[in-house]
Amino acid sequence: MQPLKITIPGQYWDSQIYRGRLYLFERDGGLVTLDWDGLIDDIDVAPSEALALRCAFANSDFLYDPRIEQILSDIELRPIMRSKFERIAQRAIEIGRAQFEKRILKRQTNPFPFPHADCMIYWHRMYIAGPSGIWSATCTKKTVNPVSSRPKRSWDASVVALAALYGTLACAAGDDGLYEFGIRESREPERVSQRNCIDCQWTYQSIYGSSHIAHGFLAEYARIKVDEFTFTRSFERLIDDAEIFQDVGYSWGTQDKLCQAVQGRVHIVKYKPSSAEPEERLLRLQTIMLDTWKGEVVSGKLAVFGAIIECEAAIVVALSDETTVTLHGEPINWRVFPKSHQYANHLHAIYDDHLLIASFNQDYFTDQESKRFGITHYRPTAGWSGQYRQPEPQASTPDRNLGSASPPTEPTDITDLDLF
Amino acid sequence: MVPIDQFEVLPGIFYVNHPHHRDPANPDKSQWTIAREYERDVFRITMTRHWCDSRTGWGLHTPDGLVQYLGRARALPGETGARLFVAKFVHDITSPIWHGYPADHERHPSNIPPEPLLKSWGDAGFIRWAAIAKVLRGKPCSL
Repeated sequence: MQPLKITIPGQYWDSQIYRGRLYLFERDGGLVTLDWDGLIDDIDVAPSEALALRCAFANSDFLYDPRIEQILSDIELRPIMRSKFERIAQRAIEIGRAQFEKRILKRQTNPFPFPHADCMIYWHRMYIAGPSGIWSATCTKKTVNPVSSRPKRSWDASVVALAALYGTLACAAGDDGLYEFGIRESREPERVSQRNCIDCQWTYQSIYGSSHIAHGFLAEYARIKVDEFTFTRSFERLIDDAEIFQDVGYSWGTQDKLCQAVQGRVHIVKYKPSSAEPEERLLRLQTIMLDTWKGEVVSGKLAVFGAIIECEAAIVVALSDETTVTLHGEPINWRVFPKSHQYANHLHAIYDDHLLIASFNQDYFTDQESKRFGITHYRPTAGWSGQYRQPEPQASTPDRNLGSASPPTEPTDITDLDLF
Repeated sequence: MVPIDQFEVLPGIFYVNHPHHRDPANPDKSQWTIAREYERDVFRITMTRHWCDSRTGWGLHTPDGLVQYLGRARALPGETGARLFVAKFVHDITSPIWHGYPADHERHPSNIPPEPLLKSWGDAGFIRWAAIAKVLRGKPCSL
């Protein structure tokens, strides 16, 4: 199923979307905030397609609602809804200058050091990472500027990637390793691992660290129940990617899926930390073959709609319905929003002269438990609070044996749909 | 001990071609792949264009106005390190003599130039924005 696409012409560096607002970092040093809901409402579609457009771009949570899921499970209704997405996907939607200007809430000077390495919004606060450290500013809709013009420096160390969950910010700092700190605490970040780390993503309460020049690793934490509504995290051990995949290559992971790129192939493993049996905690699911013209794997992420693989010459999206979509060309930046309620189906890719927002919607019609590409749709656990960690132990703890992945499956060819 | 020649690349500014970064047998150091005189040219341009502060400078090898590779990342014996195109120059607080090396952004964030300099390189067209993004994020990158 092809994605729906919106193109916004312009010279951008990065984008963020949060609670009805699209934040665009311009390469000339500006920061534009758009009324995203209004922009979607302005797009001219037939009344019969309005719901699909809204689910695709403004409310990915609608169709994941358990009550709506029941309706969509009706075998007569399901193809009707699919066809709505497919019809809109046939159109190339480009936001014109007038349309864009109409929905600008504010164009302000970028208050952060520019260009940044990474950016995210968490608890109404925008975080920026780069050579000059981690900076943050509120974006609460209560300040004069959409993003406060008075950012504070949270840490002065050079950081290349960020990921936030459970009130904790994970920070990849190259050869300095992987760090984390509680965003409501004033203490210095603590080092989780000394290994080289250039990207980090949350896998449940654990953190996956990625590296091109060293082994990737899973910094595994246990959830410790404090009371009926409260848990804390407790560091257990580092698990080398060679132990997880039985192979060596750039690897990454989010929630229940872990990926590793090895010489034109990408292995996908399901991670179930709650399984009582160690051999059930890692399950090899699939191997994807990549065309050689796409080049080496540069980085990767995971979202509900699939596994996203950045190669030198293209972004490959292995979708949860086991087809793939290829975005040709080298992006300046790209991002997905796997923890977002409203935008979990978005992929933003910035090229020299435009931002492409692609919305992938096949996952609404995919069984979440059995799907192999993409993380299982995330429903936040109510009552989580607090964060606690212990320093990395000198030796691995032997009492929690994580079984190796099952024997690899044969590489599988899957349908490759070119987007452009 | 091999004597290290000092060169006055600009009035009162001295530079040495550090031998650690011209020793392919040294697995701990990135290695220059351009000639020593080009290395000094990169440093000279860094100083004249003020791509530096009092302690650290950043340079590009731009023969004919186009940025080219200037070194390779450190690598284990028998392996080839990634190609590098940014130079980092430093001098010890106790010495006014500068030296430099190819900066490996994949290894350490301290090898990533500061944001304003990267922006000026992007604005001037020295480096593609997609390459700047990869340098900032520690990703493998080609020119």
